[in-house]
Amino acid sequence: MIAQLVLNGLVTGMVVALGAVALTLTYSILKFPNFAVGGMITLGAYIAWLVNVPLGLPLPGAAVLAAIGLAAVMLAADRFVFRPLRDRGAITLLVAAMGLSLILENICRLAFGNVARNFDVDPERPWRVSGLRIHPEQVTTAVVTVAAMAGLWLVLRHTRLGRAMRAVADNPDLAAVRGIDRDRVTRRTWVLAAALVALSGVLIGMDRAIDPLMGWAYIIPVFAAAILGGLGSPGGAVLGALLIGVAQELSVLVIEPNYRQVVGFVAIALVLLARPRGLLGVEEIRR
Amino acid sequence: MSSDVTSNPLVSDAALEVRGLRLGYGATEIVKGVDIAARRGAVTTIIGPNGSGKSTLIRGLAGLLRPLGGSIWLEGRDLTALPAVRRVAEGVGYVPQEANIFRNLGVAENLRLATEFVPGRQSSARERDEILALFPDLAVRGALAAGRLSGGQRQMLAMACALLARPSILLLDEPSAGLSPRLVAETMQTVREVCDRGVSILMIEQNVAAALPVSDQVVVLVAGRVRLQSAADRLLVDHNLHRLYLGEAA
Repeated sequence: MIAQLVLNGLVTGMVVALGAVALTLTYSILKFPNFAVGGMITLGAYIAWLVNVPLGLPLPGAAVLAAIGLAAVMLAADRFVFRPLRDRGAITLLVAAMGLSLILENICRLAFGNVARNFDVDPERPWRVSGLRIHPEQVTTAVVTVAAMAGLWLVLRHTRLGRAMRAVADNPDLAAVRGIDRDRVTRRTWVLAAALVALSGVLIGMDRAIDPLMGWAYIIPVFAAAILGGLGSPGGAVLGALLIGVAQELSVLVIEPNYRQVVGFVAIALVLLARPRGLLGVEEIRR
Repeated sequence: MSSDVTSNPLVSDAALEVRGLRLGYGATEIVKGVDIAARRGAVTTIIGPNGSGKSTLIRGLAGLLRPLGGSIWLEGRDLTALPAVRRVAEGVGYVPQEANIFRNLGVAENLRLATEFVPGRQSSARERDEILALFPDLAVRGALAAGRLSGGQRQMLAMACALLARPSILLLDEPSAGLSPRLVAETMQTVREVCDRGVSILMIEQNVAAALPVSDQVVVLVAGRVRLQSAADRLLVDHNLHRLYLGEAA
């Protein structure tokens, strides 16, 4: 049973990892915690559902269009919400992001109602491997997440955009005097983050029903993973997400499954008390 | 050069000319209308007590602060309205006092980023080799995270990065800060060598004793205003000026 819980936890962690990496990317560049990640997960899932069910496109294509659609929404949000507030400090941006999350969620509610929706995919029986039940969706989740993380690693380490993003995250003023346009880097970061979150929304939608509140259920695990791994560290976010996912699943051995969310809160509290920079975070130098 | 940069004939042989420049943070004015002409092919050093506005001035020249008034001219081009991200393409190189490298990136990546986003100012292979020859320590540390370099090596890396973009003027914010006396002497020697290769330099420095011998021109800034602009050798030999502006111990 424990092995099954660990397996389920790793898969849950992979879904959380996509959102946590997106959160840590935007935090690195924009220096505020993007609370809109919940609303973004919900909107990403609904865009994919719209393309998949009413329009009849297969789910992989729907996921790509969801990523593009959510990227467009976040570019607009950056232009009309975050950019005008950029000099007002992290708290103002955090509150704006919370407001944006509510707006995105309620747009979904207005457009699609409160009825739970499902993607048009044929249910398949789980496989049995060494006593473990492995669902095909879990394999899909693992493959998609690993591919997305590998792609992101390549972008960050081996492309011009990746170097620019790491430079702005490291030292925005120095990046400016090296000719790196922070606004352009910011826009591209939103595109990458939105694509990751949209994928996360689709994978969550495959695992459970799509409803306007689905994003809220993932906000705490996503924040806990990013904080546990070290805000600003994509590798740390992945590690944190896997740990949170496994801890959540194992927690059902001692607490009611409905209270699993408490694991995220406890993780955040413990990390902030014992190691504020997280597992792989870099100690911030105050100037 | 950008099309929206206006041109104006220089009134002197200045590489960088600042006219009535006012800078500050919010409503607080720190630099209160300074006029400075940094001569072409010379080391101009700005000295002054703590709080005189030196760092604010150099940040403003680099484009990191929006001027409250006045103008900034480089080789006859008006840079006043340009943000930092565009000044580097116009020929402004800037080495901050601290945080002057990307510490989470490798040495080689820092050097690559020096010109990767600066259109039209890439060094040729020969120029690059010549610049890096000034800083031999860097060649063997390409893969190392720049944050693991010593203070002196960081300063060298920061200067190399600024030079690779072939600046018309190099702005140095206290290059001797935090360095041992031996490294201070080496750094000042490098500043002189760079200038002798044709790069005009505007430097802020607290370590007057180390900076004056390599300087051609000195500007004394007090409470946000220029108190004196003089040839460096005059300040060195004129005991009255020395005492008045630098104190006996300087």
